[in-house]
Amino acid sequence: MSDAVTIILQDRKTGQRRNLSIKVNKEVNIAELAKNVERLTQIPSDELEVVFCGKKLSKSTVMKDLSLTPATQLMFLRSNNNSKLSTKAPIEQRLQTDSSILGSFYVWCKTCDGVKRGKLRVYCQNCSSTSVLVKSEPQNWIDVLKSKRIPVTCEDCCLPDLFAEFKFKCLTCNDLAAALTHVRGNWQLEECCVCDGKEKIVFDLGCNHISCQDCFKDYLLSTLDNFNFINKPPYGFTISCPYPGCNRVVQDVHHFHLMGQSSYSDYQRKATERLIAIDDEGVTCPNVSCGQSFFWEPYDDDGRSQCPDCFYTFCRKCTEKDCVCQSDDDLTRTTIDATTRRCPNCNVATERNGGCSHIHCTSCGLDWCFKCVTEWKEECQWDHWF
Amino acid sequence: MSDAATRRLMKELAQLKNENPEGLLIDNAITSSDLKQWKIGVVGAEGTLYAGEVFTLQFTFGPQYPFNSPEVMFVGDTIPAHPHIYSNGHICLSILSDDWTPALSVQSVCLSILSMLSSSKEKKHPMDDAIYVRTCNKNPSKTRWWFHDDSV
Repeated sequence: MSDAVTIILQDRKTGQRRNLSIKVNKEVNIAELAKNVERLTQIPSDELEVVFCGKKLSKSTVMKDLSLTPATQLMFLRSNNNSKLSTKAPIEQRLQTDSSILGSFYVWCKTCDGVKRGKLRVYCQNCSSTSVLVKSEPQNWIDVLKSKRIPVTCEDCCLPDLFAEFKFKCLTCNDLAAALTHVRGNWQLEECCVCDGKEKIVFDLGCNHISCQDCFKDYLLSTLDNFNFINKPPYGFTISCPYPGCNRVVQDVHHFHLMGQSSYSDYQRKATERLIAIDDEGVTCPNVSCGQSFFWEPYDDDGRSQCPDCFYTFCRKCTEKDCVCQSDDDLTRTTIDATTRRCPNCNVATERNGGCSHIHCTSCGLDWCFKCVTEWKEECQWDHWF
Repeated sequence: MSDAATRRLMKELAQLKNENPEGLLIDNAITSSDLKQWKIGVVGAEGTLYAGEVFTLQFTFGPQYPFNSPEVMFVGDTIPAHPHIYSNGHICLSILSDDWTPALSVQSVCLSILSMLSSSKEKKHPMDDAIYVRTCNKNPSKTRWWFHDDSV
């Protein structure tokens, strides 16, 4: 099948720039495409280099592997001296580099509402042009997810000290999508650690313990039921690898989209409420018909806050409209102080109304000993049960 | 039982029968037609306080298994006297509640309980046994082994 390819031809010899549209079969490779351009422009094809996604493509790359859409532009560069642009890198190595843009990773696509294969695209961070060449290859996820890691030269704005901006797109619908760093192909067809199934696309939090999509989704949903997510800064409320004893956690909340839209919103709301409760500057409106969570301004503070949603004004300490902090019979506070001990990590008041001394804090997740009021230790495990 | 739970339990049963792990008696494991309840014998290991004694563990699985933990307790006439096991058969073991993960299995639970028995230094029930047994929920999963009041 034949498709139109949009080409920007940048001729450094003449300083000219022109746009071409060429119809080519998707099965052809870059060398054949260059021959086509030669026929149209009379520029010898061995003086041309094809740049896409920030790098020079090898002659053997096949067009269909680039996952081009009608809107994508390929840049042809002609150097300003007669020597060929091509580097002396061995063919094998250059083939390998090309594979990194061919979509071996997965994204969460909002449009398709699912986990999809993704493709990586490179832009100039200054002018958003696609006519860029990277000066070094991204080596890992951080290189493409954080900005200002990979320097580029841009044929459009030509400014010094430019950096690449990477974007992920869904291979199915071509819309922008979020990279899922914990999803990968199951090349060796290993078994899911939950159901022993052998699925092609699996979750792996970087520990090589894999679980299939269905199991990971059920795992997330059952964790949401009782909100057993654990607070792990800087990732926020997250979930650990389902493999027993493994402490790796999901590092990016985009993976939680797998639960479906309404459960994801539910997760966001509950996680926000809990973060607000832990934060010294976070407060939840005590008005029973409101319950909005917000941050109070630390400056110019008289101990009272007004809810930005329902405008209820209250004392943050006693949560009463008319402050009772100063009154002598503050029974609530005395009772709380007398009947609870505070979590040694997050300071939340904790009451033990039965059971053993092993406290698992539902606020921050710390396991601590109600006897020592320190983290739960081997000694507590044997001697401090009751 | 959900399809996923049934599939997983069938697989676990086949694997248990195949491997026949030492210290576990699995011959008459299935006590209900729908795989919902299992009974597995555990034999105290040689050289421990419970050497040669046989106890029965009862597993009850919910439709959300393995994403929710099974309910596991000792049943029958002999309940092992152990600092983490109540005289009504309830077991205080973190993987049965908070530390449960869906990659754990009947076999891994049994082996954890066996090793808990093996490491015991004295044969006695927990200190609050009398009060716990009188006041606890019938389902040990409903017992929270730690307590926290969200409202304060």
